[in-house]
Amino acid sequence: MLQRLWRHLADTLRHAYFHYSVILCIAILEPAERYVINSVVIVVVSLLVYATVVYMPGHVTMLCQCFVHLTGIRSHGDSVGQRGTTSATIS
Amino acid sequence: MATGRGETRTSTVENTKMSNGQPRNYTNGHKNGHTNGYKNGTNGKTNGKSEKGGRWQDDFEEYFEETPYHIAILTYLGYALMVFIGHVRDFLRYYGIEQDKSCTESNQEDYVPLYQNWESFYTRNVYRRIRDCWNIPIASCAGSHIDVQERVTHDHGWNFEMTGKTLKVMNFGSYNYLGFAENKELCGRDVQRVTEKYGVGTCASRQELGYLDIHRELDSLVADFLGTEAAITVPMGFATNSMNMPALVSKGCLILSDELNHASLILGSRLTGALIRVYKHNDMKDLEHKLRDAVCEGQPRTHRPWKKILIVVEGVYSMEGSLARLPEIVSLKKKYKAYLYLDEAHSVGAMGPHGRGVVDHFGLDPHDVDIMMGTFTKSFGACGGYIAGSKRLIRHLRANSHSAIYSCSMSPPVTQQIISTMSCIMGRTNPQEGRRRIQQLKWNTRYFRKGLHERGFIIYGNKDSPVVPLLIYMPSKIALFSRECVLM
Repeated sequence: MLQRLWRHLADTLRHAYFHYSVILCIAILEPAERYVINSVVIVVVSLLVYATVVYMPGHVTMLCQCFVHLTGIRSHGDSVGQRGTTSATIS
Repeated sequence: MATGRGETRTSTVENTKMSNGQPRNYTNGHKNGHTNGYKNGTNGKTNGKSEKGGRWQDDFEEYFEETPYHIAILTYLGYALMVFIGHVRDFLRYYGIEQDKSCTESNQEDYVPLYQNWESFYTRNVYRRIRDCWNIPIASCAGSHIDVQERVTHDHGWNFEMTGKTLKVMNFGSYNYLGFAENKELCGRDVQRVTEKYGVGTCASRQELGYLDIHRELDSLVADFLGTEAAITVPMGFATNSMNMPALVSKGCLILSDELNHASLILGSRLTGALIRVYKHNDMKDLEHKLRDAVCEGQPRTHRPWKKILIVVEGVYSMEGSLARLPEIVSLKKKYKAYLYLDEAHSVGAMGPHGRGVVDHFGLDPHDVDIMMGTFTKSFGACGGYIAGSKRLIRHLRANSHSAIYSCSMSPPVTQQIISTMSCIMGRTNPQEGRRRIQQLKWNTRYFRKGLHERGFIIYGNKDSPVVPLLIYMPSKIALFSRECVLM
């Protein structure tokens, strides 16, 4: 059963590689060129994945904080409290 | 590999009307009996003259599907990758890091280069990789089944070696519409007899002792076949257009040529020295607009009237598979008093209920078309071309055309092949065989188009035309498709 699963996975991967190499014209390149192009693609994809996994959560959190600061949700609440107290003292 | 489109065009599947496998009769459009006040012919027969109203327009269906966006983008990406790799490889070859196997010119001192252009870059880097898909050598009669000689390349397309094996494959790529490109009994015996009598070469042109009696017979047979007064034949199809147009049209005339005309028509038009204006493919409004402009304004600077206006169209366009809208063109030409040159290279023998071309297909009068041209290469299994028209036209061409004066006349076995096949199609000899082949071609056309459509391929053209362009787009797919087809 596990062997069949592995074989199915291997077939799917092989099909996926075949489709990718045919669509991007890698299938008709010479073997040396194919190694170079595939390694370039792998390097670029792995860099993208690394960047996404490591930097994306931090970046998204930072953007959320910026958004909140600019629209003044938290600081707006503080200023309302202060104005109320100053008006009380003047009057 | 199919492009994987889910839906099929239902209109084309409905309109094929092939429920019992019979070829489609043209009387199916006459369901109501009357169209626009004109009485239709009795059931099973057509009138023969052009009927007004929507009859041919109902039957006329062409499709040129738009390329899906993602396929277009991926194709461009693929080509961009190949061009980039080509530049890298050229760089390596130039600096001697890699051995250069291409044919380069020897750069002599102080001489400008003779051959450098971008085309050689493309040939060297893109075409070379998949070169085994074209120019495939054949070792048998080029008929419906061919023996392809197997080739291998050990250095990725630079050099080929024959292995000595041959593969028997079915031929879908040649223009053998009616299957006459064969060496069997039907025409083979006559051709053998004529070769034994006349030999193979005539060694002279038509004007000087090269005009055999079988050439005369062929000329009159072609005229009978098409329904015109006279015809003249030329030994090469391309030369029929390029060498005869200069005899008909000269400087001071106007040629209105369709966007997608064949290279022979373009060359012939350019050789005439006339002004050429191109109108959009099959676009009658554009053609009428240009005709009207030409008649009103005259020649460009002097505004003198044009000496002649010639409209050049093809019956079936060989790269798109579309049909010319001949009834509309004929009515336009009669309205503006222009002349019509019809190139029936792919349609003669293959279109029409009697195989006489697009004029037969639309039911028009052959006298409406001033100059009918065609080739024998496609449906007749021979080589050469003809021009047919009025007696005056043919007499003029016999004296003034370059091909009649300078080219060697048609080889006798080829002439006899055309005579035999044309008689077969006309019904004079073997009437059953001729009719069977024409009907079989029609059925095959409809069936093939319908089958490809259902499997999701993108094909262009009119549903009646035997030319079926199948679009594959990506160069790697083209190569793999071709290799799989030949090896399977």
